[in-house]
Amino acid sequence: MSEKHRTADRGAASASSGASSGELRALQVELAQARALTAQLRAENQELRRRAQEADTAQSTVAELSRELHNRTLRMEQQLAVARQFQRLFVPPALPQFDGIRFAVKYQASPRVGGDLYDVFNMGNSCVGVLVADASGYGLTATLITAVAKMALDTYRQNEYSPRVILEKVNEQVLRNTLENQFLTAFLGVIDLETMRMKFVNAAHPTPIVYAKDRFEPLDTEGLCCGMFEEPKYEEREVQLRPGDRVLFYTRGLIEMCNAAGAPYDCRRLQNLLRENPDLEIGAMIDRVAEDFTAHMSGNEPIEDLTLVGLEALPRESAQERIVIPSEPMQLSRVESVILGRLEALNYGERTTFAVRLALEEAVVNAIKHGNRMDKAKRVTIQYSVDARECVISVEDEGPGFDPAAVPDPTAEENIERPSGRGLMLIRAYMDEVAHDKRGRRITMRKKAPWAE
Amino acid sequence: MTLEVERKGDLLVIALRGRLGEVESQQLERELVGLVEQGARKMVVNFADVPFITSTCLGVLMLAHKRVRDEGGFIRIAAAQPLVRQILEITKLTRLFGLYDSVEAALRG
Repeated sequence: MSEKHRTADRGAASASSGASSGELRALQVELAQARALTAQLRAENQELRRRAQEADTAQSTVAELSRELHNRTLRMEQQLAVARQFQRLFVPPALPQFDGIRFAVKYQASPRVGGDLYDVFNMGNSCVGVLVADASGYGLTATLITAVAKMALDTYRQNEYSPRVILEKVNEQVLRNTLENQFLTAFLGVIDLETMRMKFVNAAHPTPIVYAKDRFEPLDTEGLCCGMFEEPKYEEREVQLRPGDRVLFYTRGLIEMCNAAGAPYDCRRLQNLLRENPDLEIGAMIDRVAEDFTAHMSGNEPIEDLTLVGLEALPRESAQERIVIPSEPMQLSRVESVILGRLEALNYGERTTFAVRLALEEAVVNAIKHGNRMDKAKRVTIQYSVDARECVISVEDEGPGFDPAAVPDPTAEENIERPSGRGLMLIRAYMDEVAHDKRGRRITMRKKAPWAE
Repeated sequence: MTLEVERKGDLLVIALRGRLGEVESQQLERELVGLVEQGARKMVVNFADVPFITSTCLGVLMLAHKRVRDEGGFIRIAAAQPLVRQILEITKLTRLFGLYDSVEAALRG
C-alpha cells in the first residue's frame, strides 16, 4: 500500500460529504501552517526590534538581520510570482465558442495562488469538454498538482469521450506524481452538441447547477477527489440540456471564504441569485455572482482563487426532435410517417423522399438487428431536424457498437451473395453525408434539399 | 404486400404488389420458400407495382435465387420502376438476377 493510502480517512470524508469537509480540513492544516509561518516571521521581527532597542551600539547586526528578513520575504514573493505565471499558462486565454452553446468565464487568481483550473475544449465528433477543478494547497504546491492534472487531461481527452474514463486517468496520474495529501477536486462534463446531452463526473467538487425558469438541478455524482485513491469510484451521469438552460460551474473559492464577520458566501445565497435571474445572459450572470461575492466579502481579501464558468444552451435554428422506439420493426411505420411527413410538407420531392425513406429504414433496421440484437428492452433513438436547407437524421442503438470500416463491401465479386453490409452501403449511396460516432452506436445522415447546392 | 402467381410453361410469373421493407420481408420469405418447396425453379418476379425495396427483401430474393440456381433455376426481375431499379444497380444485384424491362422480355430470357 502506498504512503497515500494511509490518509484514506481524510479523503473518504472529503468525498462523502460532497461539499468536501476533508478538503476543508486539509485547507485548515495549510492555513494553520501559513499562520505559524506568519507568527514565526512576526516573532523574528519582534526579536529584531527588541535587539535593535537593546543594542543601539550593534547597528551592524541589526542591519544584517533585517536584510535577511527582507531577503526571505522577497524569496517567498518570487516563488508566488512563479506560481502565478504557471497558473496563468494552465488556463485558456479565451474560451472557444460553439454552435448551439455559449460559454463565459470569470477567473480571479488570489495573491496566494489557490490552484484553480478550468478549461473548455473541442473534442471533435461534435463533443465539447468542460473542466473545473481545484487543487489542494497554495502557491507552488497547488501549481504542481494543477500541472500534473492538466497534462493528464490534455493527454487522455484526445481519444476518449467518457468523462469517467478520463478522470480515472487523471486520478491515476495525480496519485502517482504528487505527494501525500496532495489532490484536486474536479468536475468534468462532455457535451454532445447534436443531442445537447452532457455526460459528467463530479469528483468531490462543489456541485455545478443547471438552472432555468422551471429548473434547478445540482450536478453531483459518486466519486472521490483526484489523486488520493487507486479506486476513485467515479460514477458517470447524464443530463439533458434544453435550449435556454444555463449551467454555472464554480470552485470552493466562491462558497468557503468568510467575510470579516466570519460568514461564508453560502450556497443558499448563490441559489437565490440564480433562481431570481433565470433569464440573465450567462456572461452577465457570472459578473453578477462575482459582484455579489465581492459585496459579501466587503474588503476581506479572499485567500482562494475564484473561478466561475457559465454555459448557456442556445435555441437551435432548426430544432432537433426525437423519437424513441423499442427494438421492433413494427415501429418503423410510425417513425417514417413522422419524418417523411416533414419532408413532404416542405416539398422535398419524390427522389429525395425516397432516398431518406430508404436510408432511415436501413439505419433503424441495422440498429434493431445488429445494434440491439432484437432485444426489445433496448431502445432506438431517432433524432431529426428538417428545414428548408437539409434533413439530418441520427439513429442510435444501445448495443455494443461496431466498426463501420470493418463492414465488407457488398458489391465486391466475392461478397455479392453475402447478405450483410448492403444496408449501410445503400445509406452511403443515397445520403449526402454519413458519419458514425466513435463507439459505432450512432449513425448521422444528412440529405440536402433538392434545390440546395 | 400481396403476391400473385401465374404459370407460363415451366416458368412462374410472380407479381408483387406493395412496398418491400423490413416488415414485409418475413411474408415474402415465407411465400417464396413455399413456392420453391412446391417445385418452382424458374421464376420471373414482376416488380411493376413495387414502389420501394430495402436490403432485407433483397436478401430474401438472393437466398431464394441461391436455392434454385444449383438445380438449373433462376430468379429474374422484370419491369422495376426507375427508383427501385436504381437500388438494384447500386447494389450490383443486377449481376445476380438480371434485370428485364418487361415480363415478356424476362420470359424470353
